[in-house]
Amino acid sequence: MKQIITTRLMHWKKQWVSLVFWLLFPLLATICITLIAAALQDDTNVPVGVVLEEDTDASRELVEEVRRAPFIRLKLLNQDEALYELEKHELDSVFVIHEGFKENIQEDNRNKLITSYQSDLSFAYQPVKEMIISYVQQETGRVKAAFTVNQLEQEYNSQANWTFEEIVAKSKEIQKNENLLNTDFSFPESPAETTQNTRLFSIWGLWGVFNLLSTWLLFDWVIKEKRSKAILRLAFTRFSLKAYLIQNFLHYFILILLTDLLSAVIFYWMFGEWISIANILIYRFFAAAAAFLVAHLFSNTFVYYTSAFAFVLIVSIGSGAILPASFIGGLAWFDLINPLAPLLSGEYISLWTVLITIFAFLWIIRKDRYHA
Amino acid sequence: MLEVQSLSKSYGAKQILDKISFSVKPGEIVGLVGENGAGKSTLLHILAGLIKPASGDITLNSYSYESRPKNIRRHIGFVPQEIALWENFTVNENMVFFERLAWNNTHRRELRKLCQDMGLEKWNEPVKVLSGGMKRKLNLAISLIHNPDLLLLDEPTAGIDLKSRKEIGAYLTNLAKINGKVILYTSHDMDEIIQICDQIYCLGNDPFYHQVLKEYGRQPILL
Repeated sequence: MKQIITTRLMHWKKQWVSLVFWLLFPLLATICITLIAAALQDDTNVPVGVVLEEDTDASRELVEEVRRAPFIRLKLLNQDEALYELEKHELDSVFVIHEGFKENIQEDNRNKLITSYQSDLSFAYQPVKEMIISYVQQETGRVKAAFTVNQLEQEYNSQANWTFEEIVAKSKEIQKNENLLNTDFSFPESPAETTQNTRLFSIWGLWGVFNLLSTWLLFDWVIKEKRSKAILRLAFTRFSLKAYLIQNFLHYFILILLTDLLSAVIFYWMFGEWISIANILIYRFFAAAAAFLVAHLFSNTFVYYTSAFAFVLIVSIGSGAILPASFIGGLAWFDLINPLAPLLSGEYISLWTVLITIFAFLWIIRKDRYHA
Repeated sequence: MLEVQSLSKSYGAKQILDKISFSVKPGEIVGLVGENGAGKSTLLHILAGLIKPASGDITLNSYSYESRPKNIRRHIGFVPQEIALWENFTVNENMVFFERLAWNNTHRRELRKLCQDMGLEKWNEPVKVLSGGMKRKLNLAISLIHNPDLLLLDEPTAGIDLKSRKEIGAYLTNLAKINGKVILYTSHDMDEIIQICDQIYCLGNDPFYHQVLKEYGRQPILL
């Protein structure tokens, strides 16, 4: 093993630029595309200006409520700037939260809390306006509830003595716990769609596609070395061709696996996305063993590279990792042959892992070609 | 001592080697001549253990190829007709690469000496910039790393200049005479064969080679 490591390091030293490039390609390409997509997504969100004339918890909460709304990009400005940008159509609409906002809500005064502006090109004005109205109504409702509870306490001589703030806080706590305003509906036997991840692309799906490509391109060493005349000399060394190939496969496997684990840590750190280590390990085995076995079928690297790109293109289109898979009609059989399915679904056993394991076993037990 | 008894090999209907027998003593250099397709390379590949013969026995230092198949190749050095080197490696790296895979460990100093002995001085030059003669010398040097008893050379001087050819010839002669190696050698260069070989075996039925060898004053042994 030590001898093969030394010889492999000699090869790696000669090709370190391409080796490092293809090792880091899935990680860097995934990060770049995710960040670019996020920036583009942000640019396509509707810009809405908010002017805060008072800085209270109520006004800040309203701002956060608007900020959380999907497809809205909120900008905090002063009134002159906001109106100037609205005139230039750089903002879709402007909402000015006036001084005394919190006090007015607490006094159940719902008039003239906010002034809104729109232009002739505004199209997000109505939904944002409705959102703000709904928020104000929700808050004034809470205030009314607190007022009623206080009145009832006095009427029935309650010993609880809840303060106004305590009642409002309790109301928010109940709302959060019950999650009354955010319920997902789904048909029986179909999974509920999550509203948490609003990214355009699945990070692990992207990584899986790029990883498949880089693994295949890294395993071109099988073709290059088997084609080299120098490999004939293995017959006169202590290693058979098969032992040499298997040990080198293991070195590549470990090297790429370490890069995969680094990618997992970086994705978690940057995007908060995690995946089980067992999933990565099995996907790594599948991708590396598949590339290794497929490379044995080729004698020309150009044809191998072309096939790798074609295969990855088909996988990326069909798997749903990059493009939505719904256009292929939700075919169950495609899920079965989709090599990314185990990685994305978190399953450990798939048609591919079983097939690759069988073919790898058959390759290992196949007899070496040398006579003596 | 290499002993070959009734060795036969055919490819389909074509009989390449037909019950050939010979033996070579340590320190002897044997040249194999014959027209293209006569079976020179096939014989070398069988003796190297790379091809299985149809029938016949081969023993090297009394060890049978059949009974010791895994160990026999550690006593064989094979110099292929092609330049079997890593082109992007230096001379040093090529030697170290194959030394790492060899059965025995050889110090880098000895590897360098092996190259120097055959006039290969460009230790740190990449193979791709070496001349044809230098590449041939390295091709030979790598085959000697594990100090084999039997050295099989398939046209080791093809396409190289006269000086390199003479240097390789002189090195092989010393290797056989001083170190007692058994050497089998194929070449189309009759001058070279006549000069360095103790015995010359003629393969195939073409009378041309018999005639040429007689003109050189050598008696070919027909296989």
